[in-house]
Amino acid sequence: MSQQNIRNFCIIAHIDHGKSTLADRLLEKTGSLSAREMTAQVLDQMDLERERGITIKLQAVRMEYKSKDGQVYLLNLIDTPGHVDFSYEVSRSLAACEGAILVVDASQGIEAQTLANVYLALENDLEIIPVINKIDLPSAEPERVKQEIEDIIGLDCSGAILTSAKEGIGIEEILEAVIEKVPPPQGVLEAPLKALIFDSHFDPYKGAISYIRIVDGKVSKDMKIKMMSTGKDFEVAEVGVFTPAMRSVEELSAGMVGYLAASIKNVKDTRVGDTITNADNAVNAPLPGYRTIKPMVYCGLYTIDTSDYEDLRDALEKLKLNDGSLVYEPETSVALGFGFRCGFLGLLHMEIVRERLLREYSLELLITAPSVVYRVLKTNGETIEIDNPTKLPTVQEIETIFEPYIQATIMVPSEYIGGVMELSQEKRGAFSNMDYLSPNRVMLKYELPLSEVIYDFFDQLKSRTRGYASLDYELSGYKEAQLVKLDILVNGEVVDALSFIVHRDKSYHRGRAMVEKLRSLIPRHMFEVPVQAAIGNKVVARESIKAMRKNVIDKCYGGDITRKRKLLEKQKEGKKRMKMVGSVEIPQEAFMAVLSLDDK
Amino acid sequence: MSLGIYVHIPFCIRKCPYCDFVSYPLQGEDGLEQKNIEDYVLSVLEEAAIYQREFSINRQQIKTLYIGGGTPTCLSGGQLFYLLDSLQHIFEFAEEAEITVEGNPGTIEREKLEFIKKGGCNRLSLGVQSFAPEDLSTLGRIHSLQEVYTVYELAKEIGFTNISLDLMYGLPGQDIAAWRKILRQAVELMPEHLSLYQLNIEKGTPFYLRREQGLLFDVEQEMAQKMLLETIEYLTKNGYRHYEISNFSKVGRESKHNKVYWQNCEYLGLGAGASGYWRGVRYSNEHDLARYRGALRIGKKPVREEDPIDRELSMSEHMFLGLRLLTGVEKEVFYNRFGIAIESVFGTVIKRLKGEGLLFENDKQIRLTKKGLFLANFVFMEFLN
Repeated sequence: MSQQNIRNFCIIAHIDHGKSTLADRLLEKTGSLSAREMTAQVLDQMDLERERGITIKLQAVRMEYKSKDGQVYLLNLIDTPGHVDFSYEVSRSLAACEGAILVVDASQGIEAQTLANVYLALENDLEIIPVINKIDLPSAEPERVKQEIEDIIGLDCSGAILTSAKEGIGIEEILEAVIEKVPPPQGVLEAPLKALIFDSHFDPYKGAISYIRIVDGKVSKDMKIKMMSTGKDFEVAEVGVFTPAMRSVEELSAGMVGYLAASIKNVKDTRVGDTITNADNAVNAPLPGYRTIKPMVYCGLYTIDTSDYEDLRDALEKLKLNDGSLVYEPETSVALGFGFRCGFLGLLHMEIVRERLLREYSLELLITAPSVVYRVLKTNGETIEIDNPTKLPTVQEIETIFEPYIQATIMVPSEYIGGVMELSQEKRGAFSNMDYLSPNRVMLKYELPLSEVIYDFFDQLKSRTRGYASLDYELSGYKEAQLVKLDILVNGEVVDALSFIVHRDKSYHRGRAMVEKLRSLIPRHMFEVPVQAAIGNKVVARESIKAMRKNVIDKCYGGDITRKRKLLEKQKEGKKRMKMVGSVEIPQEAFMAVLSLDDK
Repeated sequence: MSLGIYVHIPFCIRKCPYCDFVSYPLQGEDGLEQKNIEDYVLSVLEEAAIYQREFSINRQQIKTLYIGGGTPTCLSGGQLFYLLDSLQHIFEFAEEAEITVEGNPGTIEREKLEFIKKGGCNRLSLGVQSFAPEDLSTLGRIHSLQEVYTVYELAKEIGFTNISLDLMYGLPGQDIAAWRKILRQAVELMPEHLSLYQLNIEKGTPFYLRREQGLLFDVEQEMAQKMLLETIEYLTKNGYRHYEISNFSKVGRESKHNKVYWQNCEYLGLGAGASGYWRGVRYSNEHDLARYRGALRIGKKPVREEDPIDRELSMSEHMFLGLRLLTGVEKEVFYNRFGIAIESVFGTVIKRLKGEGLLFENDKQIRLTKKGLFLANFVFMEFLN
C-alpha cells in the first residue's frame, strides 16, 4: 500500500474524558474486531489499566478503513497515557505519528495535563483534530468548550467534531477527518532503513520485541539490521503488525507501524528511542529519539524475603524494557539489607511499578518513603546530588542545600481558587500567575517545592476542589532551602530507611507526627520499644510502644481446634510479613508512613 | 486413649451480642418452633448412630460427654433426658464417665434439673458470666443475678456435686475492683470449677460492629493482665488450682472433657456447627440446620469441612494444646505418641523460648512460665509452621 493511504495518529485526552471508549468505537467501526472479540477498552491490556480506568502503557493498533472517497486506508492508532506521571510515554507515541485527535469532555472542558500534551504535539508538528466528546450528557456545553480550546491553545475549533463515543455518535466523522487532515507519511521507500523504536516488551519465546515506526526504507524477515546506539547487528526473525494482537507480515515499509523480533536476548539492546537501520548500508544519523527523562522521585525497593533479591533484579530489568523512565541501581540499607534505589516519574508511577512487580513477578516489596533529588553544596566546594536522605552529609559538611521546584499548572472552577491558594501556601508555594479561562474557570500557576507535591498535594487538591482541579507540572529549577534530616530511632537505633529530609520549620511537627504514626503501626513487643525522631543528636519527639502484656486465646471454641490453629497461623503470618530491624519487627506500612502524615 | 463426645445445641432464647458460636434464636421474628428442636434432637442421634457403626470392630468406651451450645437448657427436660439417655444406649460409656450439661440460669427450673440428673448428667456448667447486674445487661444475658443464686441452690439440693461457673472479664466499663467483687461472689458459692474468659470481640457480632463505630473498646492489655493476675492469686488462695490457662478447679475436679482437647485426643463432635477430631481428621459440621438435617436424611455425615492432621501438624498441635495445661507437655507422652523425642523436633524453638523466659523445662515436662502464660499465643505460634 502506498504511503498516501497510510495515516498514523494518536489520541490525547484527560483521564475519564473517554479516550479508551473512543478507541474501542474506532476499532469497531473499521471492523478491526468483531463484536465477539470486543472487551471493553481493548487497548488497555494490563489488568491494572482496566481496573483503574487509566492507560499506563502505550499500545498500537492497525485498522483498515474504506473511506467515502472509495479508497482503503491503513490507520495506525498509537494509544497514549493521560496521567502527568506518564508524559514521557506520550512523547514517545507522538514521535511516531503525524496527527493527533484531541478529545475534550463536553462538560468538563480542557484539563491541565491535556494542555501539556497538546503543547507536546504542537512541538512535534502534529496535525490536531479537536473532538468534543460526551455530547449526549445533559451537562454538555460543546460551544463553551470549543471557545475554551480556542482561547487557551489558539486552535481553530470551527471544525471540531461533536461526538459521543459511548453512543457511537460522530465516529465516522473522526475517521474521515483523520484521512483528510492528518498528512500521510513522507518516507523514502528506496532509502536505507530508518526506523524508530517507540516501545518494546519482552517475549519469553521471541526475545525482546521492538515496536517500530518505519520512517524510510523497509524491513523484512532475514534482513540484517543494526541498532544505532549500540552498533550491534541482529538478524530479523519476524516483522508484523498490531491487529491489536500481533500478526506477522512479509514486510514493513516506510510510513508503517509494527513490530520487529530479532532474537534479541538482552533487553538493553532494544532501547526505546533508538534508531534501527541496515547492518551493511547504515544511515549516517539517527532519528532525534527522545529526551532522556529524569526521574522526579526516588525510593528504595526491598524484597520482604531477602532471598528474592536476584528475582527483583531480573524483574526490574524486564520492566525497564518497556518502561524507559524507570531507573534503578543497587543500594544497601543497614536496616533492610540489599535492595535497589529506584527513580520514578511520580507517585502513581511508583505505585504502578510496585503493583506490576507484585502481579507479573509475584514479588512482594517493601518500599521506603519517596525522596526527591537534593543538591548539596559542601563546605569543601563540591556539589553532590542526594537521592536518599541517608546520604546527606553531616551538618558540619553542608554549606547549602538546594531542593527541586516545579512550576505547577492548576485548572479549577473559580469558586475553588481560595482553597487552592491556601493549599499551595501550606506547601510552601509561591504564586506566579492566574488566568481566567472563562468567567468561571481559572488557570493558576504556582512554584512549589517538589518534595511537598509528591506527598499528598494531589490528594489534597482533589479533596479541596471536590475533584474538579487538574494538575500538571514540570521541573523549574533548584532553590536554596532550610532543610534538615530527620532520623528515626527505633529501640535506640537509627533505622536508616525511615530517615527523611524536611523543611526546618516543619521538622518538629513532622517528627512528632511520624513517631505517633509509628507508635500506632509497630505492634507491641515483649519489651517496651521507644520510638524517637531526632535531628542530629537532638531528639525532637519521643513515643514508646508499651510491652506486650497479654496475648492468649482464652476461649475453647467448643473444641474447634482448627479455628484456634488458624488464628495462631494468621498471627504468625502477620509476623513474617514484617521486617526485622534489630530486635524489632516493623510492618511494611511503616516505611511509607511519612507520606500519610497530617500537616494540620 | 480416652474418647469424648461433644454435642452442640445451636439454640438460644436470643443471641448475645458478643457471641459468635453457631446458634439460632427461639424468640423473635425468625424464632424456631418446638417441632424444629425435636427434629434436631433426632438428627443428632442419627448422626451418633453413624459414628457408632464405625466403632464396632474396635469397641471404644466414651469417657466424657459434653452437651454445649448455644443453650442446651433451651431444650425441655424431657428432650434433654431423651438425648442423654439415648446417647448412653448408642455408645458404651465408661463407668466413671464425666457427663456435663451446659446451661443458662434463665432457662433452668427444678423439673429440668431433675430430668438432667436422671439422664445421667453428673456435672453442670452454668453460664453465669458475671455477678454484676450491669454486666449482665451489657452482655445481653437473659438471666438475672437472682436466677443464678436460685438455680445454684436448686442444683445443690437435687444432688449435683460437680458444678462449674463460666465468668467473663475485661467487660466494657469493668474495673479491677468490680472484677475482684465478682470473684469473691463466685468463690462464696464454692463451685467445684471455674472457667474464666477474657471478652474477645469477634468478627460478625454486634459487639464488633459497635467497636467499629467507636462505641466499644477492647480492654487495655495492661488491665487484662492485671485482672488475670488478680484472678490467679485470689483463686489459688481460696483453694482452687489453676490447671489450664483459663480454668480453675478444686482438687480432682478438673474438666475431664476439656482435657480431651488439651491432651490432643480424639472426640466426636455431633450437631450443627459442632467440631470433632475423628480418625486423624479434624472436621466441622454444617452450620445450617436444613443442610445438617438434609445430609443425615440421606445417611451421610453432615460434615462441612475436613482438615486431615498429618504427623507433623499433630506434633505442633500437641504442643500448643498441651502447653495450655499448667502441667505442660509430658516428654514421655510425646515420645510414646510420635516415636521421637520432643527435643529432636522442637529443640531449637524450646531453647529460644526458654531463653526469652517463656518456657520452663525439666527432665519430664515442658511448660509455660508465668510470663509465658500471659503471652501464650507468642509461644504457641512458634510451634506452628
